[in-house]
Amino acid sequence: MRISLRKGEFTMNKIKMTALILSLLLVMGVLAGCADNGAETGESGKTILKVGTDPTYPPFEYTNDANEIIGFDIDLANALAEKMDMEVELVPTSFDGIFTGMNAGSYDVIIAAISMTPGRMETMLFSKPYLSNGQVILTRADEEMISTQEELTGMNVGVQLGTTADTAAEKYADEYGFEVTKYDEIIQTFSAMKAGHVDAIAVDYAVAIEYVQREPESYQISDVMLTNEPIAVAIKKENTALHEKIDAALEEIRADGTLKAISEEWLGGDYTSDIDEELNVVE
Amino acid sequence: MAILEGTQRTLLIAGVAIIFGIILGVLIAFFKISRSRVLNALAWFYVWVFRGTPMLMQLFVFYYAMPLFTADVLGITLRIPALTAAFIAFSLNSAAYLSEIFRGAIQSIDKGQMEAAKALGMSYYQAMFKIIIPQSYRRLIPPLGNELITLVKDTSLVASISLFDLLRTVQVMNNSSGEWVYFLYAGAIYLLFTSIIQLVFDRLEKKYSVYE
Repeated sequence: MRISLRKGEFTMNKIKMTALILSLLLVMGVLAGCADNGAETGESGKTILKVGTDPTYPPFEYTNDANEIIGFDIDLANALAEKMDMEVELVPTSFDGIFTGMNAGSYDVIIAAISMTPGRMETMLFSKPYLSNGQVILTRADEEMISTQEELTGMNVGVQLGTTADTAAEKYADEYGFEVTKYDEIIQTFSAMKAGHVDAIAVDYAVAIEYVQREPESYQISDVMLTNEPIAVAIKKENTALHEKIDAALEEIRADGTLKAISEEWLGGDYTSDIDEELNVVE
Repeated sequence: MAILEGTQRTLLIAGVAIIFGIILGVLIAFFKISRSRVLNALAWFYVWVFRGTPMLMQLFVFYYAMPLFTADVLGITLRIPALTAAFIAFSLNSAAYLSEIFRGAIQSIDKGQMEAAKALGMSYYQAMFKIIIPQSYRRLIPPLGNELITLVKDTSLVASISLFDLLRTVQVMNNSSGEWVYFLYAGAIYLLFTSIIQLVFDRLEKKYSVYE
């Protein structure tokens, strides 16, 4: 194949060569991106524990000003990994696709304030619960405090799409006569409540505490608790080996007080002891 | 069926936006080519703001920020429901892009046309509406079709203000069942509508090209 470079002569050969080289580069680039992701070792030589999480959920996982991911679950993940002699690699994933990601193998476990529910227990494994939790109702601080679910009638309740709060609110919506508005991220429900698009929010207790702590003049937690659903680590269904390791590590950090310390640091109190394991969940 | 509702939502928002966008876009285009400096400046500012900021940001402003802003500054809370906020944001945004399309089409008509019209005794406006603008249709149809197709797909941004358009509906179905085939349904539906738009605009273009 002669590559003709004579001025004025525009041969197909030159174009073909360029096209061939470009496509080779493209293929190489694609193959490089598809590197095998088996059980790799990190810089320290330890096995990597890939953790799926959605860093838009303070105080469990969120980004600080320096764009680092921090939070209760992050400290928990690191503590567990230390006991298991592994290294944590966080895989930020949008919450509404977080379970699909685990099944697809993008990560081994999910530590993202995942509530235990009977439905979820059929499709994945859970560690022993590490935090007590339930869905609570929040309202604006300048409104009258509500104390029963009946008082939600006629209101518009905001929830994050795809969460247990979503399921719970949907179920009670018909029973008590309120509307449910679903947002992609939890922060949007708070912005919406400030703007008046929703009158109440259903969310995890610990998250409610966090937001009220940040802006006590804007929000208040009501006495209404829709569910009881403790939080645990979610593990891929077939991975029983990892399941046992995590439960063992969890037991260790509970025994030596690390778990309690993390709870006190991020939640201002110990919610890790005396967890009510009886699930009262809406499905 | 949820997918049907999502599709209706998507088409509704795109439809309302293109209609109001065209009306406002024509107005802004005229402001820009007008001899009044004030109108020129107004039009320039409008296009600068609405083309220069992200569509998503504009949605956020009308839905989340507007009530808080008006409460602080004006004392009254102007709250716009989600669907209305979508109509407004997409219409205003489209109008900015469309006004440039219209302006470009009008200004691409040979200056000789305007001179000839004036020589025949027509006023500026008579010349505009009877001679120049009809000739500009041929030029503005391809970019207009483009804008409409882009609009149909941009409506998926309304997921961030709690609305369920076609894509968000399908995403939820995928997440709860793990079946990715739903995305194919959505893709097929988007393709169906963009193809219809393409077909219609091709016909329109042929019709207006008769004299070229």
